[in-house]
Amino acid sequence: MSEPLADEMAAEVEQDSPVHPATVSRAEAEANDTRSHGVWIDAWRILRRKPLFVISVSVIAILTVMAIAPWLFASGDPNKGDLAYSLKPPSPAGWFGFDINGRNVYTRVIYGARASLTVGFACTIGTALIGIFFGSIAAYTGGATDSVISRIGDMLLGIPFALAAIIVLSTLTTFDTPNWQVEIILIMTIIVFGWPSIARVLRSTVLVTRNADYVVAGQALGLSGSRVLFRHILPNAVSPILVLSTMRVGGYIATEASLSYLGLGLHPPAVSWGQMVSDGQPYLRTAFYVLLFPSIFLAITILAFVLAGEALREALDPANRK
Amino acid sequence: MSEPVTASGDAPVLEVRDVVKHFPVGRSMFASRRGLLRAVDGISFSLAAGQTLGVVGESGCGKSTLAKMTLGLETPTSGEVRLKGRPLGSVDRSWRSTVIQLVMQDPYSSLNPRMTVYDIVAEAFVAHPDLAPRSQRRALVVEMLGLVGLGPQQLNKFPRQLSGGQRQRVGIARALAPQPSIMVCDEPVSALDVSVQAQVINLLGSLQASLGLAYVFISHDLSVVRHVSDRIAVVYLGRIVEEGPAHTVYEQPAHPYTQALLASVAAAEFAADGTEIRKRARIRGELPDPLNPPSGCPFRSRCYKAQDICAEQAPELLPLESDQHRARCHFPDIAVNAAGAAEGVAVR
Amino acid sequence: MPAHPDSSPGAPSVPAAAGSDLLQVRSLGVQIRSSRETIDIVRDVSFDVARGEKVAILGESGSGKTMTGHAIMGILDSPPAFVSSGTVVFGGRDLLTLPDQERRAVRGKHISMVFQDSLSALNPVFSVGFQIAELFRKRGGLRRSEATARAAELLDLVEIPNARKRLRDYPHQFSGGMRQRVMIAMAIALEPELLIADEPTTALDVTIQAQIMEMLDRLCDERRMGLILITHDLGLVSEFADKIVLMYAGRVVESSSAAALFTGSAHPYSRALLESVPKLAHRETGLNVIPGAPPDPRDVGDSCAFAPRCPHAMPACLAGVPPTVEVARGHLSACLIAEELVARV
Repeated sequence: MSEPLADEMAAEVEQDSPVHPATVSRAEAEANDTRSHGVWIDAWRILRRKPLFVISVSVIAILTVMAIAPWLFASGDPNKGDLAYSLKPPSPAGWFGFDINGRNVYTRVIYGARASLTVGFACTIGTALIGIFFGSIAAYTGGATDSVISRIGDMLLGIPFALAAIIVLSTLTTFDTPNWQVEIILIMTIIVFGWPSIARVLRSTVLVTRNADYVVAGQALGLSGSRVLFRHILPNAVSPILVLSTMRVGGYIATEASLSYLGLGLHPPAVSWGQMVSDGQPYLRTAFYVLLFPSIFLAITILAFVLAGEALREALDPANRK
Repeated sequence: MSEPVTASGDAPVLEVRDVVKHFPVGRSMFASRRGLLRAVDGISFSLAAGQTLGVVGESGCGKSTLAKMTLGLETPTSGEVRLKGRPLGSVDRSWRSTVIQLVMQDPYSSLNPRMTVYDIVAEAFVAHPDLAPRSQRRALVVEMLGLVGLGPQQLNKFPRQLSGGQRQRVGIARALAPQPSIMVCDEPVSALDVSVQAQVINLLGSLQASLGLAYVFISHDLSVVRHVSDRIAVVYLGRIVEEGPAHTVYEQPAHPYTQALLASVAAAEFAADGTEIRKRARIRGELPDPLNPPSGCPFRSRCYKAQDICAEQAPELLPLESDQHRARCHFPDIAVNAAGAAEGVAVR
Repeated sequence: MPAHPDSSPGAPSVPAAAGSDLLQVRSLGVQIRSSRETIDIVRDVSFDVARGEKVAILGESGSGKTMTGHAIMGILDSPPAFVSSGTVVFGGRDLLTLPDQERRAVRGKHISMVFQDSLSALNPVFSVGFQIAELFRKRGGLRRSEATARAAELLDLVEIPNARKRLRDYPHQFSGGMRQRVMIAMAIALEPELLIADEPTTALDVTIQAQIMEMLDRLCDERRMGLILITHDLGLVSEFADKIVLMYAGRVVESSSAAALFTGSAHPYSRALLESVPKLAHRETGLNVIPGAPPDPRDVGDSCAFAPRCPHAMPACLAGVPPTVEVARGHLSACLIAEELVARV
């Protein structure tokens, strides 16, 4: 589609004046650049330059690698402890110190990233997909369907997903339930209680976009309803969702950590920062590092997502576009 | 009412018969008082190939709803729209969109900001793949752009890189791609700079001449409508109050609203020595509440010659000095020139 | 003419003699400054407004007319817009050099403004009567009951039926035309000497437009109030303006009486513009088109901005900004062939 074009071809009605034959205005020069200049490309250009965004995305990237391949960052088994090292402070032997069981806190923190990031990403993608699905159906079909979806969403919204997760997990799981099942149940619960807020936002943006002139033009052109929805309405309605989702990741991660702290989430041999905080709590006075480092990593992770989301929001803000 | 006859006697490409569109207003459940918005309250006209019907009216007269109904984007509450003799209800979206197309007012919102010019125009071929096999699409898009005076260097640009006039041309190219016979132009130049308006008006004119298009040209700008139309329909609160050949309606307006519109247009003209020729007159009052229009003739609340009968009986659209010129008034002015009418309208 | 009874202390002394200048704008320049670039959007604009005179600033988009009005009123969005040069003399004082507090004292009381979008200019959570009365209470020093009475009088003056009852209504309960009248009422409440109207009727129906413009015309005549009408509507200025200041790409290209502009303009842009507008009276076969489009302000340099589109352009037009010539009394044009154009007719 984007082939280089000879621009001395067809003359426009806007003829060159006899006095200004070859002068190309800046607008022309900018426009003759045949690279795509989409909304996203523009946003990327802005984001590229924001240090906060670059830093936060780098942090997220590092954490993701940490979650996928923790052995790249730490050698050793996070669950193997040498009691001789119990509660030893940070030293070259273990940069973050050792917990009560003599396990290397640094290694455990690295391996703990997996739990947080898995839940974070899975819940974000899940709530976004389901939220977009129901939100656009509600907005596009309207009428009874809209009412039903909206009311169900309202009811679900009334229950904070952390509380719901606590109830569901304490009912459905026991200490013996395999970790992967716990994780799935947790993620599903968050998704079920988290999609309504996404759906709500999407519903309102779709309602607005639906009346846009170019949508009417598309309908006049004879495009099918689904084509209008996917090609015209959704792309223009989705940007607030992106920002909203990015900013909620922090909440999902915090939920997982809180549940693990309460003993309801993941249990050994899986490593979770929340669990580490819970384990380290009795030793706050004596060996604060056992609790400190997982807390720092939690905070940094959540902060990175929030900042990235904030930067994304600013970059997509039409006011920023020239 | 006589069968709509077009000036040339050919079968009309567009026929609108007694089209009515009512919108219920008020809460759907537990409504204590429901109102009915009569956006379009019985409009009929027909259009032959190569002709232009100018539809003139102010806000709230129903012209946008009328446009949507002719395009098949709204279903009439009653009445019928026929394209090339076939009722809209019986044709599919695909056929309909190769017969009638739309050019919209706002060049800034009528193009999807995330699509390139190529994508925008080529989408017509996505909707109608039989019009253009994939291999030919690019060439056809370039051809469409050429028709509206844009070159292939615009293909990869996004709407925000184009001026208002250029965007409007893209919109016209998009509408031309399915090769329609009828174009509905809803205020196509109102959002453009004055110096660019002329370019687009001329473009529409030459396209009509070369492609034989029929236009429904909707505008509130009387000078522009006068310039492009063969016939004119003046609409007030969802009904046609006067219709006829353009020059007749402009020079011998029969309905008081038409007279008021013409008299309200700011267009003082100066004689060579600098003295002013026309003086603007104004009409009193405002548009009545469309949910609760006056009884009888809805214009009577602002009419300088309203009589008792105007409140009792709604007038019909009746022929005047010829069958081609009709007005909906109990006391239409027949063969009175615009200047004289202006004086009659100057009421505080 | 005696001083206004509502004059606050420290108010500029306004010239009392009829026909004398109320406002003198000289070489006004406005720039938009960002971290990357500085763009001149208004350059070297000069004109006068006399007491009771209606001056129209006419121009298309990008001509800088709105920015000029905002600069005079002192409501430029700074940043990013800044006044870069010039003086705006009102009542013997340069408004641009006044400290903020004094500038605000002038605004509303001596120079007032009416905007295109009445819905966003009026506060939606207060009734119309409250908003008008507040002006009288805060700036006019009246008591509440007096202020309300004056508000009702004002609504009457702008021809809103049932004025007393409507005082209690909120902006959204008025139609567009009525809201515009309310905005005009608020603008003239404190009896300013100068009113700036920025596209006041553009968003209104043509029949309502006529009513509003006639009312504005009458009010200006009755109160000997100067009017600056910012618009792109040629028809409007032909009927209501005494003087027309035509702007293109940030500069004044022609300034003359309305009659002179329409019968014998001295600038190619004016002529081309007049020829490209369809006339009500008769239908032409094809409209004369001005090729091209108004330039982006960043592309305008030290030359005639209209030259690329001008049928009479010469190399000299690019050599520098054409100087302003007086082709007749009160008729100025910034074109090298201004005098020949007028002679040709």
